[in-house]
Amino acid sequence: MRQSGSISLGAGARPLVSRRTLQRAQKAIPAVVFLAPAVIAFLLFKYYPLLRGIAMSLYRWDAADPPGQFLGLGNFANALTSEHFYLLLKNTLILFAFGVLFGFWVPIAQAMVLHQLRRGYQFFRFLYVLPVAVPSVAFLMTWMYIWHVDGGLANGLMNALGLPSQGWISDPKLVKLCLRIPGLLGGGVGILIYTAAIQNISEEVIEAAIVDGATAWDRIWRIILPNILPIVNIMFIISLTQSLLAFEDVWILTQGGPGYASSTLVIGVYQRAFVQNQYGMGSTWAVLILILTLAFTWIRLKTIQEDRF
Amino acid sequence: MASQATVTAQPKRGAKSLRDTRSDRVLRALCYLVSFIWCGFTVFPIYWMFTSTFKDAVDVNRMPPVFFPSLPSAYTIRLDYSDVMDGMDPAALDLAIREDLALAAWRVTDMMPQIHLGKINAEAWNGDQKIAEVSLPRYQYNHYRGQLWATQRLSDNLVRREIDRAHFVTGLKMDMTGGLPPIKLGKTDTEAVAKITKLFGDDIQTTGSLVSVGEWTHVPSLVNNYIDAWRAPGRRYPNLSVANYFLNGLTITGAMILIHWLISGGAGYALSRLLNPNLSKFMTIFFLATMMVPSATTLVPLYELVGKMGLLDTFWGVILPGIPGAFAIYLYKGFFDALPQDILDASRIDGASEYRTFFRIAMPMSRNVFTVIALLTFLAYWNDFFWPLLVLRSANRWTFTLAIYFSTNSMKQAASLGSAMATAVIASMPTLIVFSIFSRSIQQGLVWSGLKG
Repeated sequence: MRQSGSISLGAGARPLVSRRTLQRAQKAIPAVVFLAPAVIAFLLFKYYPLLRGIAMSLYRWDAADPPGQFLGLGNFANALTSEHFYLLLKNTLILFAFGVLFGFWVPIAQAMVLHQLRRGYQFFRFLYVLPVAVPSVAFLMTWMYIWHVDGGLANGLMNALGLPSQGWISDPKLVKLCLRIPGLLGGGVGILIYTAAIQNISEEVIEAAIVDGATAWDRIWRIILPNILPIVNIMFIISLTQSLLAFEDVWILTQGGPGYASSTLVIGVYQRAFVQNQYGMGSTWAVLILILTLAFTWIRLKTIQEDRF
Repeated sequence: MASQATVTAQPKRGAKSLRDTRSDRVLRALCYLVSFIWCGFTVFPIYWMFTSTFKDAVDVNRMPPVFFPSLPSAYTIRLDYSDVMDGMDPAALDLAIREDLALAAWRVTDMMPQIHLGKINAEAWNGDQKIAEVSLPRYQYNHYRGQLWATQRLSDNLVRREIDRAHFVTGLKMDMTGGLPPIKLGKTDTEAVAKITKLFGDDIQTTGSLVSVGEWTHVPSLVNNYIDAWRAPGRRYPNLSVANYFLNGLTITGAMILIHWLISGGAGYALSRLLNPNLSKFMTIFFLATMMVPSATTLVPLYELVGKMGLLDTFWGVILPGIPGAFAIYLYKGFFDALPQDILDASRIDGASEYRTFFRIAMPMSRNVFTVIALLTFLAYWNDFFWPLLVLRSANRWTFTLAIYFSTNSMKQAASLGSAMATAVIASMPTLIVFSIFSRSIQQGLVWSGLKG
């Protein structure tokens, strides 16, 4: 019974599978059991759609007639020479710029102000993050009501100031502004990240500065800000990447309108694929978004390496 | 003296006294002020969402905007039949009373958009005996008006034509012997009362004569919008209420939490403890690389795939594509990496299988990360919008986000604006409660996930 751990053809013959291999195989079973569902799910719902999407982008691929004519890079040439693509890219980038102007610096400032407080720190931080708990659709609906042309709060304020009513989200000139102004009020995950970053600065550094006679302003500009700058950099790139994918808020508030005034790249994908049923063209746009995103991610990784994060 | 002060302060570790220079105090006071104001701004949309649900059709569109909703009123309308009763036969009188009360309830509500109307009570009297009453709360009016009459404006004849259905919701009580207790009359000299009185002279022709109209504050009517929101789905889709959206949301989020606990947790454990370092590194990259691919890129093929699998318009169509959770796996791996190897080894030496070690030792020891994953998964899938929008078509499978989204179409009408906001508040309740209770864990989890982007 000494051969119980191995399989052999007969007495004296070399085992076909050595005992060690078998033991290793037995040991591998739990690993396979633990990993298999995740691996299958990733292959099926992440890798397969990715490759399929790239394949789709090379064909005409109408929803009704897959895969249709092979176009090579024809779809890409088509997309990159169409004015519409650049209009939507421009919209996306303008939305990002407004996002930086109105929203990006807000949690940084809030976190720095919060850092000066002694009592009520937790309480204020809780209030700042509270909007995260409200489903974004509900939150956006509140904003829809605020921008409502008649009866909305925005026009109420305008009238109170003696100014004429505006169309807000139904005005092509104002719509992008309206989509990003809510950022000014704050509310989001940012405040948590920046407060965590500020708390990571060692007390000793700050206290040493105080001993050296640094004023409160000095502490903010010379110590806190430089110390959280790497995190600010990362967050900047993340928000750039995310703004390339802006869809939900725009779609709920304006559905990309009026006209195409607030349509973003992802709304372009949606319209191509699910309204016009051109899967091929939709996938082409999606792959272009992927390339842009990867470019930004690459920049981010480089930034992180330089800052040893 | 100054030097003495610093010396005495020294033993107390100095931190407090060092910090409290004058500029510090000024700055801190300023920071408290700024925090107060800014917190107010941040929370303001939530405040606005909440208060809007208590506004009636008048307040919701009023200029300047209403920051504190007005209290709604109940109106009592008394009609008298003692003059006309004598010559009429009982059947005609019965019909006349029923018609008059329906007119008083429905037409007054219909014609009076400019008063804070929470409820209308109409009574029929015979001298000092009350012989009939109806009451029509505003939420019943909102719910049934469109179903009973498709026209923009009601007229006396339209109400008379549908007299039986008109009383279906008004709770008509008749007792010709006069045994009904009177309803409170309230103030009879207000502006709204004068308006209603005028209606009976000009527009509404009743058989009985108008005796008095009264107004009194009716606080329960503040929740009219909530009742309306709760039943609103049933107007377009029979047998559907907001409870369905709750159940749908719970089904999906519950399944997602379980799946992420088991599948992502198991994968994280395998990466951390069961694979050799090289393979583990490779598999980690295999999982994490997918984080760089934006969901928009895989949207079209994924939709096609789910369609081919026959999962469109099913919960599985939402749940299955959500299984790959690279961030969850990453978080689990990090936690399991930090567990002391000795304890896991001890368990194995005792003869426990890997599965037992995972479920009985590793899992309980990392309760924190399981909580965080559950909370983040809950928030993410309760609020998920885009993918359910594509997959779930039938109204009875909608989650809350979809229900709110489709109710925004009705926001153009002032009357349904308040109830649309009430839907939003009802949908926010679960996440707000969970967030308030598990604030600390969620904040921790959000920091982790935020930095990953």
